[in-house]
Amino acid sequence: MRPRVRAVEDVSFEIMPHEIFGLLGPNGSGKSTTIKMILGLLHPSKGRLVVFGKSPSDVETKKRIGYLPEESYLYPFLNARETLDYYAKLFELDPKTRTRRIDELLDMVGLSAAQHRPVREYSKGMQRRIGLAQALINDPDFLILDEPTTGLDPIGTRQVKDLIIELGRRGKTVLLSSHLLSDVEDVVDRMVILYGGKIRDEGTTDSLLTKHSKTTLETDVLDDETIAEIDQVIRRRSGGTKSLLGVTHPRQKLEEKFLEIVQKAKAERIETSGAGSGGATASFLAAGTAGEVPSGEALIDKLVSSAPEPTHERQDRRPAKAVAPKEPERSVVDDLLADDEPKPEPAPKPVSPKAPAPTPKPPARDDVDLDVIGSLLDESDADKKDGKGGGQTP
Amino acid sequence: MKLGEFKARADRIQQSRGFKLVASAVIVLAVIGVSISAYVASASPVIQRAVESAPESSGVGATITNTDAAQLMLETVLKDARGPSGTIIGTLIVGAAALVTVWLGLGLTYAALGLVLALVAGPLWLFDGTRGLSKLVIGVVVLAAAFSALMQGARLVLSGKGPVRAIGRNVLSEAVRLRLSIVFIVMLIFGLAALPGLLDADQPLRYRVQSFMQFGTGGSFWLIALLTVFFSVSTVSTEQRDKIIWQTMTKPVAAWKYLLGKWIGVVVLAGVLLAVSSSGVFLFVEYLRNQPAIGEKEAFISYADEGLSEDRLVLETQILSAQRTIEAEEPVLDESTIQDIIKQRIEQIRQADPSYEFTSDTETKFREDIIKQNRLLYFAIQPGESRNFMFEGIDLKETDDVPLVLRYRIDSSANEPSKQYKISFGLPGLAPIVRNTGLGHTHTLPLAPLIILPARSNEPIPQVLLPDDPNFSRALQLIRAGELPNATYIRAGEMVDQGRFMIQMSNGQFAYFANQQGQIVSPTIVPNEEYLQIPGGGLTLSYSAGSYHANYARTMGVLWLKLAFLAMLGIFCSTFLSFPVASMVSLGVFLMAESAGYISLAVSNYSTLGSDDHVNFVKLAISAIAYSVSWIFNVYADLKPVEKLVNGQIVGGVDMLSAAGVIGTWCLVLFGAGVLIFRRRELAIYSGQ
Repeated sequence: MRPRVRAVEDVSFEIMPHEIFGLLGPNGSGKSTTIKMILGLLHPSKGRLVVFGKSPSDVETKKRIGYLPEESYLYPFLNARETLDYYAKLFELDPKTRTRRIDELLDMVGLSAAQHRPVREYSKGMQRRIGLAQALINDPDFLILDEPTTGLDPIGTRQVKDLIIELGRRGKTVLLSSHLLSDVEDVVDRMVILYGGKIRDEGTTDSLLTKHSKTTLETDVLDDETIAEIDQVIRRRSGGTKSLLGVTHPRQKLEEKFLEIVQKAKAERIETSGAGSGGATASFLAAGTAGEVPSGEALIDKLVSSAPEPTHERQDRRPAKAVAPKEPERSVVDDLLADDEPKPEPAPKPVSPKAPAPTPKPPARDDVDLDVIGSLLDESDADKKDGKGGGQTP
Repeated sequence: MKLGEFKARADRIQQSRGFKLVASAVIVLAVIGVSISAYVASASPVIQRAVESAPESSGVGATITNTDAAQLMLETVLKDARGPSGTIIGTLIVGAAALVTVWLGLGLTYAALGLVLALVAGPLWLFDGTRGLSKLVIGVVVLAAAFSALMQGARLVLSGKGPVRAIGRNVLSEAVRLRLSIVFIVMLIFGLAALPGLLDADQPLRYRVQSFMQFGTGGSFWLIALLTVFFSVSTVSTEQRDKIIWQTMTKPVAAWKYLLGKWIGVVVLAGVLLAVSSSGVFLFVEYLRNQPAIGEKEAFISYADEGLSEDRLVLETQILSAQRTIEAEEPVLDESTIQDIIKQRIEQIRQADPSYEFTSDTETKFREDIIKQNRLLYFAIQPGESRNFMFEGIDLKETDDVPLVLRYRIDSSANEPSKQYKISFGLPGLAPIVRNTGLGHTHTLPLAPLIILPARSNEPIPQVLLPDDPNFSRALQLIRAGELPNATYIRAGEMVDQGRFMIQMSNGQFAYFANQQGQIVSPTIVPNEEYLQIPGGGLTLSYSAGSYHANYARTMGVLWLKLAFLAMLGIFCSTFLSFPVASMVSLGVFLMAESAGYISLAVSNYSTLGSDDHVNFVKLAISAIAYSVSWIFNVYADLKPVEKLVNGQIVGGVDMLSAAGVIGTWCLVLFGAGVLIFRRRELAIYSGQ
C-alpha cells in the first residue's frame, strides 16, 4: 500500500468574520490541503473543522462560499459567459440577476471583449480572471482564494490585491493563500505561516513584520553635511551607543514602474489583445449581507464617501485565539521573509518608537490603491453602460 | 475571422430577440404573399388548363428503385398540390415550421443547411453518376437539422436555475463540443443517411424493409449505446481527473443532484439521438412501404388486380405488424414416468458395470436428457404419420378479424437445399392444406381469415381458401355480393376455442383415392422420404395484437430505457473508477446484459459433469457465473425490442412496463450506491490519470 502523506498536522486557527486572513508558506507547506479541507474536498483524518458553525460538507454552507482554486479548472468547451452562467445556476440565481452579475463580473475582470471565446483559448491569466469571477458570482460572505495572482500580469495582480482589500472593506471574509510574500503582506489583516504542514507563526501583519529595534527616517534629499549632523545628534543623545547605520535613496517598486508605463501606453491609445485591464469592483458584491444591493454604484459611492467608517468596523475584529500557541521558529520565518525585508515603502508614515502594540485596524482609505483600477480604466469608463460599472473611487 | 468565431457570432445573432422578430415578420409576410399568389394563380384560366392536362404519375407500371425515391415523392407532392388549398396549407405548415425554427434560435443554422443543399446537393443531383451522393448529402443535412432542433429543444427543457438542470444542460453542451461524442454523432448521421443507398432494389420489398429496419434501428441503437457508455463515464471521470469538479462541488450542489444532473443530461442526449435515428428509419420505412412490392404495378395494387401480392401480404401481415407469437405446447412427462426411465437406465448401466455409483448429479443429468429426448421425439414426425399440435393462451375474441399465421420450420437429414417435402396441415373438419416446404428454413402459412368452400362430389370434405390464395379476394367479393351462398368467411377469433387452437401436421401429402367404382375412400398420406424434425421454437402461431406504429413507438421506448440504464451504469462506475476501467466495466456489463439470452440457452445445455460422470468444479463455477448473469439480466435479455420489431412481433405494453420497473429499480440501486460512494469520495485525491 502506498504510504499516506501527512500534509498538515496540529493546525489550529480561527478566521473571524470580515477579516482578510492569510495562509502563507512555501510550496508543499499544506496551504492548499488546508483549504481543500475547509471546502470538503478532503477529509481531515483527525480534529474538528467547522465553517459557519457547520461541517464543510454541508451544502447550505457552500451557498456563502466563493472559491478560486490554485489553478482555474474550467470547462474548456464553454465560453466565459456560459461558464459564469453555469456556476450562477448552481446557486439558483434567477435569470435577471444572473445576467446582471455576469455583465458586471466580466467587466470587472476585463473579459467583456473575450466573453464569447471558448475558455480553452484563454491565456493562463485570462483563465485566472474568469476563475476569480466565478468565485464571486454568488456574492460570497467567505471568499477563499488559493494563489489568486498566479499567472497574472502585474496589472492583474495589483487589481486582484485591490479587489481583496475592497472586498474586505465591504465586509467579506477572505482567506488568502499564497507563497508570494508581497501578496499577503499587502492585503491581509492577520496570517498564519505554515511550513512542513505545521503553523510556525501567526499574528497581525504589523506584529509580525515591524522591527522595533530600528527606526527609519525619510526626508527630502540631504547633503552630506546635514547627514553628518544628524549622526552626531544621534550619537550625542544616545551617549555614543547609537549611530546612523546607513543612508540610501529609496527606490520605486518595479510594480509601480510597470503600472506607470502601462498607464502611459493607455493614454497614448496603444491597443493590446486578450484580457482588458478590468473594471471597477462589481456592484452586486454586497457588504456582507445576504440581500441584494439596489444599486451597485450607489453602494460604492456610499462606501467611498463614508471611508472613515467602513460598513463593518474592522477594529472590532478579535484576533484568532491560538488553540495551541507555539513558539515561533524564527529561523524559518526569517528565511521566508528574507527576500522582502529591504522593501522600501514609497511614503511610509513615521512610526513612533513608543507606539502601542499594533492591533488589527481597518486599512485607511489612503492605504488602498483604488486609483489603480480607475486610472487603468480611464478609457473604458466613457463606454461603460449605465448601471453596469461601479463608481470609481477618487 | 476564424470559422469558430464566425459560427459563434452567427449563433449569437440567431439567438437574439431582434433577429427572431425580424425573421418572424419576414416569414409571415412570405406566407401571406405565397398564399395570395397561389389563390390568384389557381383562378387563372391558363393555369387551370395546364393543371387539367398534367400527366398522371410516371411511376405506374415501372419498377421503382430506391434511387428514384425522392423524385417520385416530389412528383406525388406536386400531384397533390394542384389546388390552391393544397398550396396554402403547405405554405402554412412550412411557415409554422420556419417560425418554430427561428424561435428555437436555429434560423441561421437552417439557412446554412439550406445553402449546403442548394450548393452541394443540387448540382450533384443533376448527374446520374453523382445522384446517390446528392441523396447522401440530403440525408445528412436533414438528419443534422433534426438533431439541431431536438438538441435546442432539449436545452430549452433543461434551461432554468438549479444544479440538476444546469448540470444536465452542461452535459448537452459538452456532447456537441467534445470530440468523443461528436465522432459518434457524425457516424450515426452519416451511417443512417448512407443506409438507404445500400439496399438492393431488386430484392422483395419485405426484405428491403426488414433489412433497413434491422440495420437502421439495431445499428443506431448499438452506436448510441456505445456513445452512452463512453460519454457517461467520460463526463464524470474526466471532470475528476481534470479537477473541474472541484469548482462544481464547492458550490451548493449535493452529490445526488450532481449525479442526477449528469444522468439526465446523458439520457436526454441518448433520447435526442434515438429520436433522430428512429424518425429517420420510420419515415424511410413508410416511404418504402408505399413503393410497389414484387408482383405489384403500383403500391398495394397487384398486376392481376386481384388482391395483394405475396410480397405485400407478408410485409403487411408479418413485418409491419405487431403480432403476438405463441409456441406449440410441449409434452409434459409425469414424475413417475421419469423415475421409471431413470431406473431402467441405471439398471442397464449396472449390468455392464456393477460398481457404478449413482449420484444426485447423475440423476439431474438423466432427468434433463429424458425431458430433452421426449421433446425431440414429440416434435419428430415419421414419414406418413401425423401429429396434433396445440397452442394455448391465445387472446382473441370471436369477433376479432386479424391475420393468424403459422410459422414452421422442418429439418430432415442434412437439410439438402434441393429437397422439398410435402407437408399437410389439417384443421378440424376441413380438407388438408398441402405445402411444398424447403428444409431448414422458416415458412409461413396464413390460416385466418379463411374461406370455407362447400364440399363437392370429388372433394367430399369442405375445401379452404387461405389469404395467400390468388382466388381469395375474388371469393370474398363473391361472398359479399351474395353470389357464393354456401361459402363461409371465417375470422381468426372463430377458429380459437377458449384461447386454444389445434392443428394437425403430417409428414407427407394428404390425398384421396377412389375405388374401382369411382367412390372416394378414406384419405391416405403419401409419405416423404425421411422423418422430419421441428427444432426448438420452430412451430409458432402469430396473430396481430396491435398496430405497427404503436409497436414502433414502444420499441423506441424500450431502447431508451436500455440506454437510460447504460447511462446510470456508466455514471455509477465513474464515481469510483477511472475512465478506462469504468468504460471497460460498463461495456462488459452491457455486453453481458445483451447476450444474457444466449448465455441462458448455453447454460441449459451445459453439463457440469466431467468425462467420469462426476462433478467438475471448474465447470460448476463457470455454470454458476453464467447462470447468475443470465438470471440477473433475464428481463433485459427477454426484451429483444429490435428483433421483435423486425420480425413484426409485438413489444407489449405490459412487457414495457415490467421492463421499466426492473430497469428503473436497477437504476435506483446504482444511483443510490453511486451517491453513497461519491459522498465519501475525497475529490481532491484522484489517481485516475
